[in-house]
Amino acid sequence: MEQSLSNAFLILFVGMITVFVVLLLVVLTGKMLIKLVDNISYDKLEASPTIKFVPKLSEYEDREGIDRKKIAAIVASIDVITQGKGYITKVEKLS
Amino acid sequence: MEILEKLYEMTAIGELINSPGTLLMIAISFLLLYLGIYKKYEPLLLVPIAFGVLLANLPGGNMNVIQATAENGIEHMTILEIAKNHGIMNMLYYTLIKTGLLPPLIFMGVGAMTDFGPMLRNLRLAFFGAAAQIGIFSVLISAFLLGFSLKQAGALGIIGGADGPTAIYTSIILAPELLGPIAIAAYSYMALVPVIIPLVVRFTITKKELKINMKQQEKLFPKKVKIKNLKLVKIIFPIVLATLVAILVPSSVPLVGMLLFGNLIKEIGNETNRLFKAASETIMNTATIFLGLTVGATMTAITFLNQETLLIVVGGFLAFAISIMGGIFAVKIYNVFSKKKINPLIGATGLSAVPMASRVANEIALEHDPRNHILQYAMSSNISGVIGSAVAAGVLISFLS
Repeated sequence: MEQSLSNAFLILFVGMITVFVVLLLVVLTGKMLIKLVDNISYDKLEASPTIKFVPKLSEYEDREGIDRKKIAAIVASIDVITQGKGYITKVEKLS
Repeated sequence: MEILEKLYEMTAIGELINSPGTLLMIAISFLLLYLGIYKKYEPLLLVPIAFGVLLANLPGGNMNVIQATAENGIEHMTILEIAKNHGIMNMLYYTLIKTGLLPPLIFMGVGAMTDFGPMLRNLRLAFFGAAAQIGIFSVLISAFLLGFSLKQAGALGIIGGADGPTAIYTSIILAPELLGPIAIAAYSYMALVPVIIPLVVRFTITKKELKINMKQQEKLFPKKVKIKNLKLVKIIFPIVLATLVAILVPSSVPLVGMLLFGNLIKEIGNETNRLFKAASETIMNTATIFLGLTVGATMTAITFLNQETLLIVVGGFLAFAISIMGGIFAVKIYNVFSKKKINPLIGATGLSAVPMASRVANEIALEHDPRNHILQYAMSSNISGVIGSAVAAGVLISFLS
């Protein structure tokens, strides 16, 4: 009985430490990946002459006088449909 | 007269009259069906479980699951022999459940439906998913002191992880004889998250703490790192994490590994869209049907109507409540040492029950401050709770099996 009870406490101790360690690794891995991917993506953008920087939402709004919410919806749709590969170069009001 | 007697013997009426326990189990199945259909308590699983209970308790149907013993020698039979001698429900149970196949398949579907985005955006909140696993281990000790064996206590404690497939997977390995009541308790309490979280919150969080506005804190203490390519991070993350978890806690790989695989095929996008659809719809739904029916079929009058079931129901509730409190107090301790405060409701969502726990926490926060939307923050600890409970299950299995 005593042996089993000490085993139960050991499981409590080891279990909680393990869960914390794994989630610490989740946090560290996540942070490391974010930094790494950000660096790679940034380098790629710098190196590639074909990729243009997408104008900010406020620039569309200023130039075209289109509602900011509509622009945000268009940008988000293009982002989802093209899975982040596409971007908008021009937004024009037809009438 | 003889014909009438034979007709009476052919029906199950005689057996039902002679066994009031069976009648009570049928009544319980009706109650569970009512809760699933009318009250909408986790209907996707509660309805198959309840119907499994009903089928198992109808005399003469041969649909109840029989636990393997040395006398009946089921574990040494072929699938055909099990089907022939003990019916198709036992064949399904020993093929799909006893082998531990269905919970990992369900985890794959859960992974395919999970978005790690909120967690990656608020990584430090993931720690509270660890603190909320305390209920699992503290109830393990309490259950052992109440007379359960260590294996049974471990299976009971895992209810505190608030994760149905994890609870079922752990029970299959550690205490298959308690599978039915543990599954019912786990899914019932998951359905009761909107009741249990507010109850625990009322006694543990002050009104001042409930008003901590997460977005205001973000403005006061902005993040140093901003994610520029979340899509790519979300693809690499499950691969790296699966590798790390496999090295650290190999026994949790069937659950965590499948969860992360499901997530990977979702995040890749169009190229693996067919796999994603199969994992999140076809396989997930099929697995859920068979899991529910077979788990329900383990619950006969002999296995369910006893003192152990009552203790499992009470212990399960305690495990749940302690897990919620664990997360809340972890946030409170963090707030003592940090300038950037966190709403303790974030800690309350550290148990799995995704996304219901987050929704409930968000509603409580909005009640106290209509501008305080904490959903995306709560999802971070909520998702990390899924990983945390699967890892906790892995620890229990590797120590106790």
